[in-house]
Order: sequence, then structure tokens, then C-alpha cells
Amino acid sequence: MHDSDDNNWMPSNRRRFLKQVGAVGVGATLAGCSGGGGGGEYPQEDIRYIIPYGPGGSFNLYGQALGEFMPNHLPNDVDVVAENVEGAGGRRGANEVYQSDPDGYTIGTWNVPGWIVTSLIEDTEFDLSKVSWVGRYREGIYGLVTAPDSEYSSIEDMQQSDSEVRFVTFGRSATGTLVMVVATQAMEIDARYIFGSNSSSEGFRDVISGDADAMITSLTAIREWVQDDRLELNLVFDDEAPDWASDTPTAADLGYESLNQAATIQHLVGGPPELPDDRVSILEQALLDTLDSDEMQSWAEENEVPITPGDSQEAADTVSSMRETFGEYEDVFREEVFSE
Amino acid sequence: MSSTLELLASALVILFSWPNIGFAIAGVIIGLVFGAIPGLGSVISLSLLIPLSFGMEPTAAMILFGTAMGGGKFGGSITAILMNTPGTAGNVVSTFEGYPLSKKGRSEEAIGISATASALGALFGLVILLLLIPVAETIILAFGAPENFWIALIGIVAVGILGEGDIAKSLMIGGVALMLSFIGYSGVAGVYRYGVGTQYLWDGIQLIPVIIGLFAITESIRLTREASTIDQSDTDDHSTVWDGVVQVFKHPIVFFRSATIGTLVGLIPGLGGLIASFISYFQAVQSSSNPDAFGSGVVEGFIATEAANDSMDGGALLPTVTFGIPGSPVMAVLLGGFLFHGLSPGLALLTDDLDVLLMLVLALALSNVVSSTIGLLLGGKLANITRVPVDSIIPLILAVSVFGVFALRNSILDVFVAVLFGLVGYVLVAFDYSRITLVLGLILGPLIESAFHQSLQASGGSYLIFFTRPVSVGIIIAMAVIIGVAYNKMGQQDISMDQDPMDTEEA
Repeated sequence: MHDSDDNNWMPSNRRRFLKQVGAVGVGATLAGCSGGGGGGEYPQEDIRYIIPYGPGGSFNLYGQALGEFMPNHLPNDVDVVAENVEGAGGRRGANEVYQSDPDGYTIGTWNVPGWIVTSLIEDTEFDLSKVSWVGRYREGIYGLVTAPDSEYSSIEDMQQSDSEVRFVTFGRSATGTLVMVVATQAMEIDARYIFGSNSSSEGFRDVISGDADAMITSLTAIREWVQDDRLELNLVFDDEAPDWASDTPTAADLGYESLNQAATIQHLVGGPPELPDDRVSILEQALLDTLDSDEMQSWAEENEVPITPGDSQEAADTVSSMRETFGEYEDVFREEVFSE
Repeated sequence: MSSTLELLASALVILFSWPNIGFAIAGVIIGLVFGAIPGLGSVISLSLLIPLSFGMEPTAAMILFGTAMGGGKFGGSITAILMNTPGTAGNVVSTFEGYPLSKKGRSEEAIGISATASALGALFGLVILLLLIPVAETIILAFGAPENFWIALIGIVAVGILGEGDIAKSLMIGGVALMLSFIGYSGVAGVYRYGVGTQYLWDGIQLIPVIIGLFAITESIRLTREASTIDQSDTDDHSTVWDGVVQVFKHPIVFFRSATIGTLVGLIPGLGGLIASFISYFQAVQSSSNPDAFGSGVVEGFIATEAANDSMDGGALLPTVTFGIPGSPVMAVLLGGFLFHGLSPGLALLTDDLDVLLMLVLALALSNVVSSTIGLLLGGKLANITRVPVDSIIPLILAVSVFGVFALRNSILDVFVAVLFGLVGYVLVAFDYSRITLVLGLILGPLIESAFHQSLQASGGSYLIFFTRPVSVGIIIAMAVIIGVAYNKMGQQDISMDQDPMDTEEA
């Protein structure tokens, strides 16, 4: 309402107007600074890092380390809070991430190719092609082991065997099981599968006792057992054998290099769909800086675990190519693994 | 051996130095509190402590973990004795004789028995662990899927013979429990069964909410209807904790047999404290001259459960540290703690890192002794809870139970399950059906199924695998003996009842 006195209107109304503008401006600034989706620099609050498995195991190991070291490489003074959300074979945690707000404050670990095959065989609540990939922290290489006194001392022995070669493995939808099926099919080994081992250690027990002939699992799990001479490493699914087993034949040596990509476990980091690109970039850079940092490298050396950094594009490409590779074996999975 | 003793001595010095002794005290307190709250226990306490231990020296971390584990078992016994509410799954059987002792006004004595039998049982198990390490690999390799199948079957047989109420009812409930245990995703079968499309039932019906429901909530309902206080004795002359201490030393055979059973059961991965204490209790009943008295506060039965429940840890550590195969759910989490601190189960832990392993063993031993001592000193005060009007106790039991269940997975559905089984438990008790049978069926069902399928897959479908292995044959013989002895005893009891001189027309 205008003051009737023109001489007085301009100054008092201008002051009121300026106050109002100033109030709106301050309010907008405060909102931007305090809200996740506001205009302040991201991140403005702690980031949840969801580990979809329990406190034991390598997923938790790496997740806790990322929670510890990543804050040092993020802008602003925020924490990364590692949280175990286990259950339903990892689905609870995966859904927790996938269904969270795409604001960059919830990310988590994704187990590939485990989730790829699951999504081929069953209906899942998430679509891997829509996950906002941040990067990768580990690529686990697989190996094939037998007992030191086994009748099978090479892949050729297995291929030429008159009887079925008994492979012990994890649950039917576990990554290790899927890798085993792909590998034995590709190498044309007449295999019989023993499902249900709760861990690599249980499987190793069965191999050593003679209840099974072989097992395919990650080199990280295998290493100590081979170095203690309790198991023999017969094949590494990679182009090169590790230093601690340099004489071991590789899949490349035997002409099966195409298996190298399939026979890996990828620990990827991702967020919900439609995460803004700028926030993905910040998270990606923080992840890569963390993996490259002295503290993370020291931690990995102390714990004797590998770090295999990858950026968001590599993660996305890995998922895409694994979907193609494992898609070719869909019928085999349905028949050999999920039909009984 | 001499180098092991030297390492032990060195570990002792380190354990009692600062800040390690501080970690030990903190671990005992955490363990006692978590053990006493139904639904929490050592699994939860360790799960929380592992990430908090980031950056600690492995030795210090093992002290923290070991003391928390040791405190948890005894903490769970306290609530089992005083409120018929087991703090952990392994304390379920503690309620069979511990709570009746409380109702008779002998709660302090029960605490004394538990404190003594638990501490001595734990020490027994740890000594056996150290002695068995040189032959650990041979033992672990002897038990494969067929052996695990027969072991689990012994558990089912024992349940059928010993379950509360009559055998037909026990077997019926056991069958229902086995069916309930099949709900959820089966890794060995590769199918999701009876989950009605929900994510909640993917992991099956969770054990802890069921136990809380069947025991804590059912008991709360019963208390509203049946008593003014838990202590229903007429006398003010109550026995003391020291009477309980003496009782354990008066029954050395029961103690050593039970501690041995607990340690042996601990060697078999997947069984855990509940199975250990149940089998030990079963043995105590079978070898008693007055089995019918069990369930009314029989000291031998209570010693059997407490000794076995705690000696189990020593046995369970063996497959855990030598093979990385967790001997119990708590050991599975502890294994995560090993990995978290760069320790690998296997020969390295038994050679290069033996000092760390010995520190864990000492921490477990220390925590059992300390927590039991706390129990003995505070037993009198704690026992007063049995003389408080139940109107004040019931809300406490319910609130703590609901909190414990919810804290497991932050799931309100777990709370609903607990309430549901609380109502189910009340009906079971009213119609003389066995609650423990229901719980044991839920535990043993997945073990039996998994072991059965794995055995057949290994043999290519031949059932001979169950009958041609030496250890399996030994277990089958043991089972036949158990059944034979049990039925013989029941037959003798029937005969003596038929020949009762009082039961005559002239009388």
C-alpha cells in the first residue's frame, strides 16, 4: 500500500522492499547451505555407504575402510558412514541404495556379476542398467584349486577324466557358483556340482578331505591355503599368474582368455538412478583419490588385499559387457543351477 | 609346547598392562549388558565392536572381542534365571532348571551355580582347545556333510525323546518346526520357498524373534495370570550364591561330562550353544536316577546346561581358527573380526600370529572369570528382582525384549513375529506342547536339509554315503544306544508303575 505522500513513499517503501529482498536472499542462502538438494556445495551432510552384507567378509572389510578414508578426499567436512544392511542375500542393501533419494547422500557396494545373473533369472526390484555408477574398488580374480594329492593335477586331467569331476561351491545364486558353471562349461569339463558351501573355507575342507575334487573361488581366499601347501592352484583366470604362484597356468595360457572377464568378482560402487552428474563426478573423484592414497594403500598392504581402481565409465562398461557374457549362459544357468 | 607356554606368559603380561586391561574391562561390561538384553547377545556386540576397532592393534582388538564374548553368555543366564527370559539363544535351556529354582526362592543359589559352572566350563573348553590344536585338522576333516547330517538327526531324536510334554506332541511340534525352517531362500536348493513374495521372509523365520516371543513374551503373559512375584516360596530363608558354588563342586561328574559334551558339540560347525546345552541337559536327564524331577529346579540339570553352554566356545574356536569355518554364529562374526584386522585363520594364526590367538583365549578366560565374579558379588542384589511384584517386572521384560528384537535388523516385522510367537508360546504351554522343540526344529532343519543334499550331490545320488564312512557309522551307533537306553528306561518306568504296591484294589 502506497504512502499517500510521494515524497515519503520512495524511501520507506524502498527500505521495506530492500528488507524483503534481503530476507528472501538470506533465506535462500540458508536453505542452500543446509539442504541436500539446495544450492550449496555438495556434500553438505554425511554420506551413507551401504554394505549389503554382514560384518564378516571382504565386502565389509573394504566398506569399512572406505568409510574411514573417503571423508579425507571429499569437499567439506563430512563423514562417510559405513552401514551394514544385510538380509535377503544382499537384496535389502541393494534396494536401500536403489530406492534412496538421488541426492548423493546414499551410495553402496554392488556385487557383480552376482546381481547380473540374479536379474536374468528372477525379478529384482532394481535395474542394474539404471544404477548411477561411481566406480570400482576391487576386481577379484578367480582360481581353481585341488588337493595336493588329487588325481587331477591339471585342467587336461579333468577334461580327459572318465568320471565326473566334483566341484564344491557356494549357494546356487552365489557369484562363485556362476563363475564355476561358466568356466566348467567353457572348458568342457564333465562336472558335478555340490552346492551349499557356506564359505570358501568349508569348500576347501571338502576338497582336502576328498569329499570334492575341486573348487573355483577368489585368489584372495585361496592364497594362504596354497602358500601353506594345503591346496594346489591349478588355474588362474587371468592373463598372468600372481607373484606367489607364478608357475600356475593361466586361462590365457590354455586358450581360454575369454573367461578372464567372466571369472571375476567386481566390487563396484553405485548410487540410485538419476543421480546428478556433478555429484557422481565428485564421488567418483573422491573414490579414486581414496584408493590411490597412501593410507588406503598401506591398509591394503597390511591386510594383503588388492585394490583395483576403476572410474564410473569403467564400472558401467563392466556391467554392460558382463550382462552380455552371462546372458549367453542364461539357459545353462536355468538348466544346471536353478532347475533342481 | 614350551614356546607356547612362553607366549602365554608374555600374553598375560600384555593383557594386564594399560590400556589393554581397560579394553578388557570395557569388553566384559559390554558383554554382560548385551547378553542380558534378550535378542542382543555377543553376535550384536561383536558386530558393533568390529568397526569401532578400526585402527586398533590386533592384540587389543582380540582382547576387546574376547572379553565381550565371554561376558555375553553369563549375562544371558541372569535373565534366564530371574525372569525365564533367555538373554541369548544358548541360554534357552538355562530356563528349564534355573527359573524353577528362582520360583522356589533359590535364585541366588542358581546365580552361584551359573557363575561357577560357566566360568569353569569356559576354562575347560579353552584348555581342551589348546590341547587339540595339534590334531585340529584331523578332527575337522573327519566331519563332512554326511556326519553333520547324523549329528543334526541326533538332535532331533533327543528332542523327540526328551521334549516337554509327551513324545507324540514333541514329535508333532518338531515336524511343524521343520516345516517352518524351510521357509525362505535355500542356497542348496536354489529356490525361495513359502515367502509369499516378501523380502522379509527371504532369510526365513528369524530365530531370535521366535525365542524372544516363545520365552520372554509368553512368560510375561503367564506372569499376569499366575503369580504375584516370581519367587513363590513361603520362606525368607533363601540359599546364597555360595551355596550354588558349592553345588558345582559337589557334582564333578556332571560338570566334567557336560563340559566335555559342550566342547565336542562346539567342534561341529553350525550347532551352537543351544544344541550344546540341550544335548548336555538330555544326558543329565538320561543318567539321573530320578528323571521325572527335571524341570522343577534340579541342580544337576542346571549345572549341565551352564557348563556346556560356556565350554562350547572353546570347541567352536577350533574350526574357526584352524579352518576359518565358524563353529557357531558368534564365531562367524568373530571371523569377520579376524579378517578386519588382517588375521587369516589357518596355519599363520597357529604359528606366526599364535600370540594373537593366545591373547584371544586369555581374554575369553579372563572375561568368564570376571563376569562370574561380578555375578557372585551382585547375586544377592540381582535376586531381589524375583521378589518384586510382577506388575513392575512385566513392562520391563516386554520393553527390553521389544527393544532387543527391533535392534537386530531395525525391522518392525521382527517385533510382530516375536509377538505372534509369544501368543503361540502361551497356547503351546497351555496344551502341554514343547517350546524348545519348536526352537530346535528351526535350528536343525536347515542343517539337516543342507547336509542331506550336499551328501547326495557328492555321492551322485547314492544313499550309501550315509552308511559307509567310519565317523558316520560311529554316530549312528551312538544314536542307536541313546534311543535304546531311553526306551529301556521308559519301559522300566512303565513296569515299576504297573507294579506299584500302592496301586492295588486293597489300597
